[in-house]
Amino acid sequence: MNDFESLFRQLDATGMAPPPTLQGLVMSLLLALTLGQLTAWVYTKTHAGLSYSRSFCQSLVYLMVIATLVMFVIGNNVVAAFGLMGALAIIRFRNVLKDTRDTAFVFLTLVLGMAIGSQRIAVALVGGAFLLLLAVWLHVTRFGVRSHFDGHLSYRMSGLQSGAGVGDLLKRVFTRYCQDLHVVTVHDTGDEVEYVQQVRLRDRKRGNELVQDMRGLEGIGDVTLVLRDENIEI
Amino acid sequence: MTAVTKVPIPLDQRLSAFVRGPLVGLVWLATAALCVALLRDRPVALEHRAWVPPVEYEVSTPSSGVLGVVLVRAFQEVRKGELVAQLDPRPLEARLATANAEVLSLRAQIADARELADAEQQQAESLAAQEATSDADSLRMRMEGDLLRSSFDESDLRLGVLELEVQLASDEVGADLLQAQHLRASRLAEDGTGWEAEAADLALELRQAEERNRGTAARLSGQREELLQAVERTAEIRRGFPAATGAMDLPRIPAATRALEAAIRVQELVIAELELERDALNLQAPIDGQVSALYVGEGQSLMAGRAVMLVTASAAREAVVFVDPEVASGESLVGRSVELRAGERRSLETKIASLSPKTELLPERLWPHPASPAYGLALRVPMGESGMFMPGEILRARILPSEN
Repeated sequence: MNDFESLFRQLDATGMAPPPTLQGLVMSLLLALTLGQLTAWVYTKTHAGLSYSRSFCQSLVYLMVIATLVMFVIGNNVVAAFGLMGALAIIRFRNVLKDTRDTAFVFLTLVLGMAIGSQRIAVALVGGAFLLLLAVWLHVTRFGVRSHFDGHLSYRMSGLQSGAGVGDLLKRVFTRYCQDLHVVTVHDTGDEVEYVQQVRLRDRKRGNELVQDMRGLEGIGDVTLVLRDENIEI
Repeated sequence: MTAVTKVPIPLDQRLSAFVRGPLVGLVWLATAALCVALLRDRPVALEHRAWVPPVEYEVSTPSSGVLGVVLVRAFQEVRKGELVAQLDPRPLEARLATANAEVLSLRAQIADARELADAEQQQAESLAAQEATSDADSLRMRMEGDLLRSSFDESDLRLGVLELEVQLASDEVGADLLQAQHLRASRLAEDGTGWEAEAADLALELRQAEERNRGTAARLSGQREELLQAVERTAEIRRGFPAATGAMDLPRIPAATRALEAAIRVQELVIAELELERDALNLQAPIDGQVSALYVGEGQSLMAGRAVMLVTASAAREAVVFVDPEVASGESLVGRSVELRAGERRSLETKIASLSPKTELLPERLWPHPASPAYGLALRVPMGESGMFMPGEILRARILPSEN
């Protein structure tokens, strides 16, 4: 316990703010990124509701890093802290920001402006570059996207195929074209069964081949494949 | 059933899936590992506030007077014992003149008393010769006369010493003033302000004054030697009087003479006091350092104890580290190594010498917030002659782990 306490004290604040060295700044930003991503992942996995937003999930990462940058800019300066609060309040009243990610970027702009104004040029340059690269990284990796399916496949099954699940032929077609399948809805009207499935294709460009092959199967009709826009979360 | 030929996944799709999936996790792991590495390399240890308290001395006047001349400027370097200011010596010179007049008056009175005593002695001796007094009575009368003359000689020599002391004190006051003026002229001449000729004249006058003072001091020394001899003679006569004359009591000195001798004693004390006042006219720098503030100007009237200037020591030999009392409660800090740091390049490792017995208020510049006073235990940390930190500089201190 003494070792843990000793480690905790070592990692805790030093009693007075250390000077903003480059190493300290980079370490702090990386640590904020690490913890921010962890926070966002936990949020993504534990979210249970209809209001999940990829934008909000990314904002969790942005805000943690921006808050770190803010402390390097403000330091112990109470005047700067009040100035930042006032600027944010003005923006909030003047312009309602519905998207959290927009708010994070507005915050970033303010912080970088304050850093330059207080002549902390190095902090502004390093922090700004880090955050902009982070934004690109989160965009490229589609960070916060929960679904990994490419689209929805809907079809009707009638005759001997219905009621018995997916037939072997259908199964072979799915195995040929799809990496993953997940049944979303099953609508049994007695004569026919309508399936809607989330599908992840092996090759997105050959989705029409999947549709053609399925239409060639007896008892399978109304085959529709809707591939979603990668930027839209379904 | 034959095996199904799967549609190959294109490379760009594989890459895209990798970027959006495992790569994020890998980058996160790499970032986390880098953070751990940086945290381990981070100079951890509790840091404390510290500073180098400036050693400052106020140069103040020991007596009341008017500030005659200030020989230094703000931020000028001074050496210990260097003359930095001088009070106006004219009041003291006036008092010395008065004392000198008193001495001359006493000398005249002693001369009159001596003349009267000599006349009375001669009259007594002639009367004794006419009446054919005994040898013993004659011897006694003669010894009384010798004792009286010796007393008068002693008083004369005392007055002579006093006179020379007053003269010397007065001349030294003048020499001090000349020295102060010469010093100021020399400094002005060094700045190239055209005071070279004035400085040279003052230097010549100063040499002449010092020569005169040495002569006076030599005469004073001789006079004191003679006084000691006179005192010894008088004492010898007193010692031999009872044995030579057979009388039990020593002859009484005339009342007027006793009064004059008392007046001489008083004057000696007065002159001794004036000499002390002469020393108090000159204000000297107490330490090697710099004049950090000048509080008064030339011609300003000052009361005794008024601060004239502030001298700050050039070198700082001690730092003070303030720690939370909880840090000091668990273990003894005296003797522990501590690292003092200012900025990124200057650091010094030394040992804690002592710990204050009570919590102290930190200097205001060390408060984390101007409106929130901070308190802590003060640790005295000697820095030796390193001269790495300036007086008044704020430092960061890190108490190093004990070697045990």
